[in-house]
Amino acid sequence: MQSSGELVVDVSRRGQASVVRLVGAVGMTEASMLSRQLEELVEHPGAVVVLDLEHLDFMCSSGLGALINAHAKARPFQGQVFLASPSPMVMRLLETTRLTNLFEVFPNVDEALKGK
Amino acid sequence: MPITVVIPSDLAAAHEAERALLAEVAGCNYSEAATFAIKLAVEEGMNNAIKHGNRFDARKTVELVYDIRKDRAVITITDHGGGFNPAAVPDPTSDENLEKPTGRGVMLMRAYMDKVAYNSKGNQVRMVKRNT
Repeated sequence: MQSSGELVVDVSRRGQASVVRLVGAVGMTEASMLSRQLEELVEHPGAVVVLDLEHLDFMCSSGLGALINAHAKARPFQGQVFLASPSPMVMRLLETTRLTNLFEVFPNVDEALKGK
Repeated sequence: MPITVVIPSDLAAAHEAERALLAEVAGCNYSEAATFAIKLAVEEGMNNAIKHGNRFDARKTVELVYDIRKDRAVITITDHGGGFNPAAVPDPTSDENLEKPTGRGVMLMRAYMDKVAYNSKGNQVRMVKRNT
């Protein structure tokens, strides 16, 4: 588990996938740490990363950038990044930015792991 | 009475200023959605001012002015950079820009606040959010 400012990041393994639970907020001071952590997870052949957003209260555009960066870094490794259980506020953010067209969003982590 | 805070071009200092502003918002019982919107808009505005406006120049400051009332919040952020043309910012929701990791700040401020206006130079943004 790592924390930065208002964010706690908890990474666990579920089979071949990494489940990254984000708790708190990803603002401008937390986004770079999150981006580095996600890069480490996705830069492996076939990496699957599920971001559990259930307890994420807030995300700014820098946080969204961290997710997009992970998505881009995963691609050459044939990896994938999925999003699970976003709060209504975070879901609206994903919809407003049309990032629902870039990421598959699942109602919970189990569904995301089945969908991979 | 508006509150004025002047900070260095530093993200941690911006975060502290934002916390004080949000404490005022909490004290006026803003809705969860309005509070999220204000936090997002201030975060984006301060981030733009420090990164793109002042370009992290330690000699330049950012001025945050806020007037939080029970019915509406008015927030103005000014940097000391060269300014920009907000109308020239590419649409981050278009298919060709969707995978770019940056460039969403201005669009989000407009999407979440009731009014967003820049001065002619483009180094000052004024935003209004009603408490609904």
